[in-house]
Amino acid sequence: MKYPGHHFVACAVALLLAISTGHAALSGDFNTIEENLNEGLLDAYAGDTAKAQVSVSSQGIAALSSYCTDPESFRLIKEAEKSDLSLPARIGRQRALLQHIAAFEMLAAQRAGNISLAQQWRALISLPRFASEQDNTLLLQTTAAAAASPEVSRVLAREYLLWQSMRVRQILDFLHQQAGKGRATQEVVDAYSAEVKNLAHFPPALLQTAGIPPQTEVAMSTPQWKAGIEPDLQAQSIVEWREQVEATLPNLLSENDISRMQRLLARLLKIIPREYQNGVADKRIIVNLEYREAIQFTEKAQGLVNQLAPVWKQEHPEAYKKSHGEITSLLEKLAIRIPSLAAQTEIEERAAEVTKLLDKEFNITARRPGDKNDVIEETALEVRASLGSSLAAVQAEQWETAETLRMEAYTAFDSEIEPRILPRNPDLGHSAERSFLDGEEGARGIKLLIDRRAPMEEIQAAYERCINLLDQSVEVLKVSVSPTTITVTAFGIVSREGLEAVVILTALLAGLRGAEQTSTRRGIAQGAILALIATALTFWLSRTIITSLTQYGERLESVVSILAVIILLIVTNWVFHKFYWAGWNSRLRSLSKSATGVSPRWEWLALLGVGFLTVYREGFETALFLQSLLLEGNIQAVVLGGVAACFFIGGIGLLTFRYGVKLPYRKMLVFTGLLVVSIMVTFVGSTVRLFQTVGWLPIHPIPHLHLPNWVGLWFGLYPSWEGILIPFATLAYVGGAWLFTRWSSFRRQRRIEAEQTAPHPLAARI
Amino acid sequence: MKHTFFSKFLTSRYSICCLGIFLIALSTSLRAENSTPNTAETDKALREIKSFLVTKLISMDAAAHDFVKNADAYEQLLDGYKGDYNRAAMERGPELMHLIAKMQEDYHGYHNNGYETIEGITAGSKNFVEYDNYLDAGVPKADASTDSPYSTLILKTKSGHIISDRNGNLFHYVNEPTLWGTKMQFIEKLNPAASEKLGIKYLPKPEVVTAAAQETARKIDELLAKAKVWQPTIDECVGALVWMTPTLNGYFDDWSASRYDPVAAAGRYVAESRVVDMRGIMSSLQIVCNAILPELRKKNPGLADQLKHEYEGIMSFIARVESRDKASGGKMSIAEIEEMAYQAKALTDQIAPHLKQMVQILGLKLPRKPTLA
Repeated sequence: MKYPGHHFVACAVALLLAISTGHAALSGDFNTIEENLNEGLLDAYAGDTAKAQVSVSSQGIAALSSYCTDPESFRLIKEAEKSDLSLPARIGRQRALLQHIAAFEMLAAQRAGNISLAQQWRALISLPRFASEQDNTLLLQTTAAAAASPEVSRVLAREYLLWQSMRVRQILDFLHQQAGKGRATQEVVDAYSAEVKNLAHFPPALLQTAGIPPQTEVAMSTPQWKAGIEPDLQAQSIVEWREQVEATLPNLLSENDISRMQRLLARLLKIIPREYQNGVADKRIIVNLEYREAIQFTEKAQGLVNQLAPVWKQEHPEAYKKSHGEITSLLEKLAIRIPSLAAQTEIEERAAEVTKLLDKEFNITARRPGDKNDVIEETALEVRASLGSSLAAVQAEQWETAETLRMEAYTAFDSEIEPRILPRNPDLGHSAERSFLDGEEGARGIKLLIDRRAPMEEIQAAYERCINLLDQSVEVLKVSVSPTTITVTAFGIVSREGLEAVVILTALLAGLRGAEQTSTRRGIAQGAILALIATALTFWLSRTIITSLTQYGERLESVVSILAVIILLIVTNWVFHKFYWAGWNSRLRSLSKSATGVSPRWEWLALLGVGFLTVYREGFETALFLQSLLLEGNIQAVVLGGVAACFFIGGIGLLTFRYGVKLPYRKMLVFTGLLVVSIMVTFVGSTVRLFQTVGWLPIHPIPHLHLPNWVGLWFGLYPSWEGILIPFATLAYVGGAWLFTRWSSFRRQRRIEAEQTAPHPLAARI
Repeated sequence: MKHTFFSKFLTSRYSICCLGIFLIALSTSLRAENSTPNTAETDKALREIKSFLVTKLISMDAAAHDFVKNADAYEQLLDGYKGDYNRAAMERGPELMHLIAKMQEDYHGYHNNGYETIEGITAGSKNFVEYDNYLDAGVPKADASTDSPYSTLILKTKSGHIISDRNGNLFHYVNEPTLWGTKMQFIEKLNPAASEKLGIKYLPKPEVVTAAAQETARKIDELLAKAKVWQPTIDECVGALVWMTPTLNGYFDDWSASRYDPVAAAGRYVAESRVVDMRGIMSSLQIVCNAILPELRKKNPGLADQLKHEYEGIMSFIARVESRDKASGGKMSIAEIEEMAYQAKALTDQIAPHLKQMVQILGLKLPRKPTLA
């Protein structure tokens, strides 16, 4: 009994078997050809040409003919079989042409609606490092009709061109490295230059499918190679040849891609020295991951420069001609020096040189100059992107990466948004800043939660809060500030800092009354005047030099703050320790006396230094604050506010000194002393906060303690154990020292009294 | 009337069917929340993976317990000489050497042919990652970072003396340097006569050997027990592939760097040990991959074939690296070394995105990278 259905089932089974056998056979044959070529190349490098020949010809590229349908594939097979080159070069050429054949066959199968075959050819194509090919994977997971559309052909062809352009650049990097390290041989150069030439020479039919206008044919030479010459020269010849190759590669980048890649490049150059610093110390790898990241980021930066090269060549031909070679060469040196564990300064210098060239020649920076609103918008985008990546890293439990990206986001926020928002809305500015760090009670910040490895939901909420505060800040900044507001703000800043200086100077001069102290007071006053000049100079220089130091932002501020704390501790000691105070007075008096007589130069310098340091610490801070304000408005408004504040402080200063001298000596001493102690506690608290910001101190929040932002601004107190305990410990130290001094003094007094009241031993004898 | 209807319904087959359907739906929805639902083929694949792991662990466990036996015998022998290693070496040298050789053989049993072959699964799975860290991957506390955590191993002698306090993992920081005599604190130097008699300069300290053996056996017992009750999921296994395959790149870097090592012997040791590591990790990953591929083949046979070829390609490439290295007598040309490292990287560069493609096609939920956190 016959069933027609039986025939159908048998046919279907046979077809399925044929398809599945065909799949396995194509995949097997293709991989065998590639493997043979790879082995052949190794044999050729080992000097065994005969074995290499056998490896290559045992199953050659011709074996693919039975699987091919596209006429272009047959043409390429023919070309691959030519024996006009050296064996390594032939192998290189075949490796490249295999890729083009796979691409043509993938597109042919896709157009014909043979999805399964198209999938198979696509899987055979070699991918570059960091390929993100999964984006288009699902295009070939639909119905045959949907997958066969010309749009799918275009996307797949474009994707292929992108992959192979990346591979070309990666091979060029490899070849360049080999040449630079003196490891390349004639065979190596032959093989890889042939592979690059054939890979970069995309068949016009492929370009057409991808919707890219056909390139004008450019005759490509081979790199100049001479055995025995210096590695640097060999590397240089690869650089020169690379220029030709780059000129043939199609530009597949959109405007958005270019802008994103350029900024990424600048950012990578910022991160590389940081990663290196974390990973390497004293010529030793201390954290392998960080060290590897420094290498990887350098490779990525090289890749970006290569990808951007055709764009730069077109848009900035002069700058390209002048600097592209230098940038490539500097990055190459960086790539060589990192694995040889070079000194940190060298890595920093190299990265800084590239950054400078990018900025100067191509106007590329991590943050783009431009209209204020553009800058804010762009920075906000950048912060959001970094926070997004950081959250993704948290989700992948890559905590180190998450922290690095958080720090990046914070740096961007801190450099462009925070200085602008603080004068306008300090509460919002502080809340936003804290959301990157420890946050507040019930709304913990990102850093703290990353450090704690907190549950995902909690961390996610912290990122959302941070982005929300960022958005609010951006909204506030969209509204322009009037010049009057800027003048008033500048007045406030200069007055606040100036008053601090006046308080400390008052404390210093409180004990220096009388005509015999004139020269001492003059020395301190001269120091203070010098500090005012230095402050003005700092303000002017901060437009140039300090800007280049912004990458060290918080770290620099931390160092300055700790110096200020030390100065204040000394000042406090002067004020409260009777010994010191007395010593200081007598010292000043003696200095004064010597100044009227034969004053040695260093003693005059000491007086000058005291006045200078006291005022310049405030002046430096003021200069930096005013720079932030300048981002918001014009210089006239800022200068007006500053000058008005100077008159105001001058007046207060005059009054203080004039009437201060009329106050009883002891009262004056206690009053100014208390002021200095309160300023010192604020400084210590702010310094602790800075240390926590840059990761030099941990953050352990105090549960259920909520302090409003103004407490931090005015008293330097923040709700963490470190932020509360350290300032109070300092206060306890000063208080303890004062009590000790009082107690010692009291004991001494008692002893003297006892000695005075006790009968004289001689008297007893008498 | 109503009462009768409900009573009838509650005791009828329909109600039992409804209850069954409800329970199935409930359990399916609960499972779906946690992981990708399995097909029969996937279940088979997961059973294969688990069976491979348990079988390997059983043989590791046997080697570990043999290590305990040999360590005890070694200690007993040296106890007879009250700590006089030299006299023991002179009088019972062959017995000592035999026991050391047996303990080294045990090491190969539970480490080289044991743990290294399952590392791809243990290090890539949240369930076992702490064992990987404790036994094989953890670094000393002083060198630790978030991405490279320290081993929590605190090893003490019977008398309570600390041998290692979070100073690296058990296999590479205690067992290996003790049995091969490379860490002074775990070994005793022999005098020239004893050294000449045995043909080695150092003997392992018995108290270290016994403590290490006990700990090895205890931890592998634990790991085996955990593996026996393990319910692998497809997401977890694919996660192991995605997270562990790219680590091969680093091993090849170490391998190629070791070929330039000025101290040839040390370089050679690193090179060989890296090849063993690579083969071990990749063999277990290959098993995991092969178990999953049938599911992928249904949706994208081309990718399934290619992944199969890629894992096979890596294994055969590792074999070729080893054979070329041996054939050249450790004197491969620079061009060969660089080309091999380049080809190896190209292989892993290729495989990583293909795995992610597989995840996408199968609609799997890629788990987080397993860490100790």
